[in-house]
Amino acid sequence: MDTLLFVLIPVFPIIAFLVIAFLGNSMKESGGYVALVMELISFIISIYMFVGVLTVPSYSVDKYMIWFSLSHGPTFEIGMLIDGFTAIMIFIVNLVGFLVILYSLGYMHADPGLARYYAEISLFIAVMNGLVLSDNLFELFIFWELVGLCSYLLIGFWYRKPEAAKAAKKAFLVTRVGDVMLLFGMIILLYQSHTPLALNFNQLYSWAATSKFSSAELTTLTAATFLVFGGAMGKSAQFPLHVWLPDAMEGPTTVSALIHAATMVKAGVFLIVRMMPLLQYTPATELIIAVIGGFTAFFAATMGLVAPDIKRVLAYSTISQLGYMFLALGAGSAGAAMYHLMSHAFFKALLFLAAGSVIHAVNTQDLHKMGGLFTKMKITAVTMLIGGLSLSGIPPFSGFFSKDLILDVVLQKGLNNPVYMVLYILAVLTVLLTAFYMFRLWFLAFMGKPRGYDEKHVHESPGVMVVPLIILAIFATFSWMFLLLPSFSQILGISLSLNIPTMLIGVSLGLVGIYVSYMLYSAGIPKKFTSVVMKQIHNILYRKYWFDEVYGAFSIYIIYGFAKLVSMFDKYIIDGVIDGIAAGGVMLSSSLYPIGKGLVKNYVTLIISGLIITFILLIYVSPFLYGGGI
Amino acid sequence: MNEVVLLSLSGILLGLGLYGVLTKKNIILTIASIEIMINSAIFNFIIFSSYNNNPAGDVVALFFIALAASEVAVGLALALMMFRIKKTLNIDVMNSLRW
Amino acid sequence: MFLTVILLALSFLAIIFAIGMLYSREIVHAVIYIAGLFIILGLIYFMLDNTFLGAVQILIYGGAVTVLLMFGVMLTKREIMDKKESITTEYEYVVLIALTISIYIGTLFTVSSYPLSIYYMSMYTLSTVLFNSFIGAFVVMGVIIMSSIIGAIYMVKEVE
Repeated sequence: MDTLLFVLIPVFPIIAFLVIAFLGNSMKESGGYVALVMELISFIISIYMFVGVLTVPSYSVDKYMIWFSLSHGPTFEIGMLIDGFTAIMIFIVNLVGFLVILYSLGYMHADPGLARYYAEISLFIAVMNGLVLSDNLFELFIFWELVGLCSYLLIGFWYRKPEAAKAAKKAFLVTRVGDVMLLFGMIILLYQSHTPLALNFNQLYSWAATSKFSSAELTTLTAATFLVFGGAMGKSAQFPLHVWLPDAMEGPTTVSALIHAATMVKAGVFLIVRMMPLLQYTPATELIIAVIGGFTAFFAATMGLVAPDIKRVLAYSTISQLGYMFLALGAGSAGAAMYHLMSHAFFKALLFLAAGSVIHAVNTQDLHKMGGLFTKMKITAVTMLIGGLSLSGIPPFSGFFSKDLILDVVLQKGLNNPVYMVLYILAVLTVLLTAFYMFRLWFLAFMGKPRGYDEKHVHESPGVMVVPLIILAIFATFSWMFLLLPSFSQILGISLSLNIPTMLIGVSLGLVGIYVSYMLYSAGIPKKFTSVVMKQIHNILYRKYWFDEVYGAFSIYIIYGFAKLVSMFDKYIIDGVIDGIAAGGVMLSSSLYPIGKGLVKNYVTLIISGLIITFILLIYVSPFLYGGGI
Repeated sequence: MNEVVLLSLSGILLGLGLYGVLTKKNIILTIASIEIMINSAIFNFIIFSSYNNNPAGDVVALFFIALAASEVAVGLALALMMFRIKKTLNIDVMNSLRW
Repeated sequence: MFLTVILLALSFLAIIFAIGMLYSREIVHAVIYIAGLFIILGLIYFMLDNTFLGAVQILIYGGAVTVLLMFGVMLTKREIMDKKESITTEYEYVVLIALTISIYIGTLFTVSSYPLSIYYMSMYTLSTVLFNSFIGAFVVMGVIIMSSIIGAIYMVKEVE
């Protein structure tokens, strides 16, 4: 393989970005075709990389060039690390990116901000590819911030809508908490590792493998890895930084599919995958990752049960599935996480795009206003059903295999460690919840009777939107076949081994969830709960455990209060000193005001008197004080 | 002895020029007094240049002479401006430095 | 000794001219006194074997500056013809300045060693230094004089 060719993967989308950003307003719709063609080229190169790596599973090449070096300090470089994980991730990013741009041609048709949309999405794909190709943490961090920027811009794409602007701001600020943690983690690692190339992944691995850590050093390393995980927590919307992702659904649905389901939120998982060789020395961080991941999986799924908005249900589902991936990472299996990442990228992108197709048809996101769409939008309904089955872990869809792998991994770990056993039970319960909320969504949208939308205008979406759905449905169904390739299994370190009891538990719980939602929702919206307890639970879930309120109160009372205190300090103490100096000058000047009378010669007299006194002091007094003479 | 005489002369001329600057009411005489002061400074340069055999002092003196000449030109232009605006040459009329 | 006597005489004359300038009632007389002072200073330069600067002093100060002052007097003569300068001695200034200058002269006597002889400063030496070491300053000086002259012309230009 010609490694240098892969530099071009981010370059083509960047070209598209520049072209559309500068010429987009005169190009209108054709800007989309520029983005599409450029992304197609990148996609072809990434297929080449994927196939190449599959033929040589142990492939791992680090190509870099020195960027700058500090004297007596580390040398910073930029480069590409190409191995199995990179190839899989690049393949996912570019496949989904290509399909989403194709879909956008139909979905975003005649939007006034079209040029901005294509420019930003091309930029996003470019920097996401850069993130995946990065061979050191420093470079990764730069791209990490850039994808955050693109996410901000695209969530706030319809910036005239106040909710969208608010959601963009919220996403930016909440992920920033994680980014700061990541930065601190990086700094600690940089100072601890002293590798010749700063924060280069391969050198970090060999550093961790060769050095004998004292307990104090291990504590530092634990802090560093935990802080790095903090960054992943922000980007991948893990509890307690999950609050931004549901609100991010204010952006266009394509953006939700690409950025907030398939690629960017996976950056956190990818980062932890890259850090795995370090994590194995810090079991405390692994445990934290597993706990947060397992808890988030369950916690987000409960909120998804009652969400009224079709996209928000999917957003909670994304958070929950990301929790699964972190659970697998915490259980020490990068391969299971990576494989679930892959199948999740396909079926979640599919679900989002299908939801987009529905929204395109009925012009609302409220599930309570849909219903009975199955006969009108058959392809959308069937592809979404495939996505839903895959998400719920029903065989033979790929979601079944990936979820089963994770459950298996956690169970193996749980046999020795009770904490993991609890997490396993949570994960299994989450399977039930997942199946329930997913089919609640599907039944509410496609079954029952129409509930308040304009039926005459509803029709199946155009071809450019349907084709990506079908392609993604194929991937969502058959991507488990990758596991049949020995090289693929070798890269991930996993195999298609079916653990019958785990599998039976997972599938049966999934089927129970589907059955319950069928009973409740197939005929339309059920009656309100009557029992007080159920009402209370519903209320808690509907209000999202009051997280927004708590965070809002925290920022208003504590952070804003502190800011006010600082502002008072600035206003009265710092400004007071400066104003005092100025006031003293004014007072001095007004006391000297009557002396000169405005006549030049008076001033000259004063100046010359001062000069004479100075010279007399210099000649006659300073020799006595400091020695010397004239 | 010679050098003491010459340096004393330079100092006395400086004092007389200063006195002129401070007391003369007519702006043209003020400018003339300033010329005396500059001349005493140039004189000082030349004395030391001659006694130390260092031509740098002479060069500086030459520059000062040129500068003083242009200064006189500017000063007289100012005097004419003042005469045109205030219709007088009395320097005590110019008291707008403080307002 | 001979040189000392001449220098003392010239110094005395210079002081007389300076005081005369300060105490003349007619402003034209004051300008004539100052011209005399400049020329005496030029003569002292000749006595110090610095012939070139002596010549420059007499030409520029004794000639050009004096003539400029004369023109200033001429152009504003309405007032000058009408009014005589009022001569008063302001003793506070006299005391201040006299004190300072006497301190200065006093210090001159305390200095123990002066260089002994006067060196002849040839024009050749002077021009060599001027156009080698100081050529940059020389050019800058030309620019300054040019701009000040332009500024002066701009100021006195008749305003419509």
